[in-house]
Amino acid sequence: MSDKTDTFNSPMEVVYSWAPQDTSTVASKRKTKDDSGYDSPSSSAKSESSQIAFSAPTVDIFTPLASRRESWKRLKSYPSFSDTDKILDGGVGEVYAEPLAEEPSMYSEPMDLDQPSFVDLSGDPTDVSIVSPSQELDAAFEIALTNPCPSTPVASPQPRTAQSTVRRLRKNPTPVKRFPLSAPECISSLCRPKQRNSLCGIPRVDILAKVISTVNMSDIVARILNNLSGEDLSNVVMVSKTWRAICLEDPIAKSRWQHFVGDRKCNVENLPVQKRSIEKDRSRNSGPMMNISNQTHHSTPLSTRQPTSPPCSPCKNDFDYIRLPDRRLTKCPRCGWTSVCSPQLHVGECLSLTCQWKFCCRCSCDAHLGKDCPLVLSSPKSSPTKSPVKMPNSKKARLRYLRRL
Amino acid sequence: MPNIKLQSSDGEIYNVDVEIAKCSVTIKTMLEDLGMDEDEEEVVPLPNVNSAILKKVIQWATYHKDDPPPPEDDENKEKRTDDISSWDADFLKVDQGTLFELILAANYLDIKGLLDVTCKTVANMIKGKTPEEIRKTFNIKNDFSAAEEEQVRKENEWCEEK
Repeated sequence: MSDKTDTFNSPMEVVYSWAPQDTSTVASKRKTKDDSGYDSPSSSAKSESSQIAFSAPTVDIFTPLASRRESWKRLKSYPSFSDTDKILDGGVGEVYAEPLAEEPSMYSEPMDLDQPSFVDLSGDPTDVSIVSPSQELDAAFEIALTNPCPSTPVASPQPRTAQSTVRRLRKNPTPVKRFPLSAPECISSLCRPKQRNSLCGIPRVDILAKVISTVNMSDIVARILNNLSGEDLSNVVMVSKTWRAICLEDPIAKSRWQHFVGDRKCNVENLPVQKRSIEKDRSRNSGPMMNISNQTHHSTPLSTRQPTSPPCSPCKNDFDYIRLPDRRLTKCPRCGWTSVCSPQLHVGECLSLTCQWKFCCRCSCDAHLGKDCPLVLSSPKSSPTKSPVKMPNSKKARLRYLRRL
Repeated sequence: MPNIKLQSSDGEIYNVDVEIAKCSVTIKTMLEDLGMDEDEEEVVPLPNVNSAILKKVIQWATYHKDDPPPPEDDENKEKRTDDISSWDADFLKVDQGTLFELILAANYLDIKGLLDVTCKTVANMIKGKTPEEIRKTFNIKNDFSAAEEEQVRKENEWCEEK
């Protein structure tokens, strides 16, 4: 272990000299503890001090990269990334110590830090050869990050190592830096956007199914379905099995569809003519109405039928007939029965079945059909209110009735 | 105006005004959380967005940078889909592949306005169409068997003949 730390000290010195002030104090704590330097993450989780000591140089090395790397990760695994919040909220020193202590199982190769290959790698700072395939990919990941411009060659970091020791150190101990994602996860998520062929330019795409199959974003589907009416939803459900499943998986869309279908079943009008019911009707009553298909309407149960207006009594019909605005009640001059008078034509008609006399409202004589009333012709100034016909509803009449009482 | 560099999945870098880039809640949160310096030459990699789509998104965001924040949506209410502005309608006159990529990009970058308008466009493609027309529109194969289709139609029957 002592020779490990000895070999290790040389690059670390550079780190300490290069590191920011605040974290270097934490890192210097590690210097005093000779044995706790590089351990496997599992052993580093044993003691609090060793955690910090372990994490301090890690972060020191990558502080310039950390922001970029975190932003990368945050963007990459945006929907389900909870650990970045910790990273971003917490101090820089505790960034990687916390997930290490909590979830050591997330690290796919926890022991490779103790492998001699790694020690060799970190011990000799000029050696940038890649040791394990995971490290190789991690290094490629790192290079892809540090060289975002596509024009720069991604092939080897050798010219960069010549530039400065610090830069070389950034790349060298990649396995030291641990992310909550294990290496395969990192790789797969790194490659995913490149593997998925862009659909740009394809004229017809099954968007709903693609959304579910490629990214599994049910909230996008919910957004689309929320814009649709119940009728549209019922059509969507009939498109294909996939669409049906998608639509019914969304709880809001499903309930809206069910509501719509339920409502529609209740409000069905003009039920389709069923041959069976026609046959039944034909056998039951053969008559002149037999061929009228509408007759089958009566065979539907009452509950499903459209409610009709309530039945009316003949009195109500009479009342409605009289109540029309262009009519007025008068007394029949001949029989005294109720009669109806239309003020425009001044023609009254007795409502008594036996009388049914048509009379002029002004002179109380026979109705002058088509001719003017002689009373009006002789004295045009006489107002119709002074006509002998007394209105049963007038004020005087009411007063008379009161007096009688 | 401070700029920010956005890198698409295929390596192209776009220099974008920070205010425009902040249309994306993802980028906005990232910038706030990291406290990036304005003058810092940072490149934000967007591995899920290719250059064609990123260009379109930036175009949309540039046009809509002064928009007020969209109102909170009511989940249960059926929304209007005819309130797409003419500029947006023209902007979204693209093939369905691009539209799909735009939806994914809007979701990934968390641009609510763009996500809304793209989803509405898709909804408009579905609206008022019969199942057969929807299949034609999106090039979907009808994978119902005859018996299943019959059952589904019974479930959904309107005034159709039995």
